[in-house]
Amino acid sequence: MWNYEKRLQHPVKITQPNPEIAQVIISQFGGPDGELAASMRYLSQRYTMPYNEVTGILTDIGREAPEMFHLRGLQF
Amino acid sequence: MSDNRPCREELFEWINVVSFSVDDVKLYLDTHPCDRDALEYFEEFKKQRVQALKEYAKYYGPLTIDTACTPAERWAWIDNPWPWQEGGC
Amino acid sequence: MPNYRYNQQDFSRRRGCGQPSSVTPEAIYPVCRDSRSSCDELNNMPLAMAYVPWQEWRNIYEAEKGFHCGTIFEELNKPFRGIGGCQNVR
Repeated sequence: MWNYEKRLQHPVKITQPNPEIAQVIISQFGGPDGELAASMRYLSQRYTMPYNEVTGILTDIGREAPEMFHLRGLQF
Repeated sequence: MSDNRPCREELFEWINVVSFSVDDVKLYLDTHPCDRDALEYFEEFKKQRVQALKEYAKYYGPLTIDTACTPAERWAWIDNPWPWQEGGC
Repeated sequence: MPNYRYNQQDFSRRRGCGQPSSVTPEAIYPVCRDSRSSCDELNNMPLAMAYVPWQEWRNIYEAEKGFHCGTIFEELNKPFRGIGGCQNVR
């Protein structure tokens, strides 16, 4: 189902690690209202979607969130 | 560089650029499946992406499983840095 | 977002004071600040309908520019400015 590529969609280079900003980023990513939760909802909702166009969109947007797994902000 | 190998950083950046174009037009095509301009754009950038990935794998190791080539004596997939490591991303 | 649940008695009770507060009404009730009319292009549209304009294929950025903007569509390049969501402000 998933194809792994050895690169990030957009390069990340942290020059000044900042724990406070990292906290904000993580809070946007995780938790019940985070991007990851939204992604999981999109990926689940595709199975009952009657329109192919929307199934495609749910898949393609849902798969964007795992990009954020490479949270370089954790390197502080 | 004494040989003709492309600069690694530039080629890598180019792969990111064309792959992003493919990602964005893919979203557009999900809702506009018959848009001819968008389809042409997709074909063009898909072609460039495939070419760039092949070239990168030839000189610097594979970035995708499809460009990992088996005649080599070692499974290079694990040798090159991962995105979160130095030299990766 | 303004909190419209301010109720004078309830508010005083929750602040823990038995006496009426000496705070002025302006400090308790949020000031209505509605500047949307200056950039509201939906003025002539019928009420109670949600609109999502259909996107067309136009104004596509060069690949490098698209990559740096985060979108290949010029119309979708909307950097955050913190000015309240006005349309067509560049």
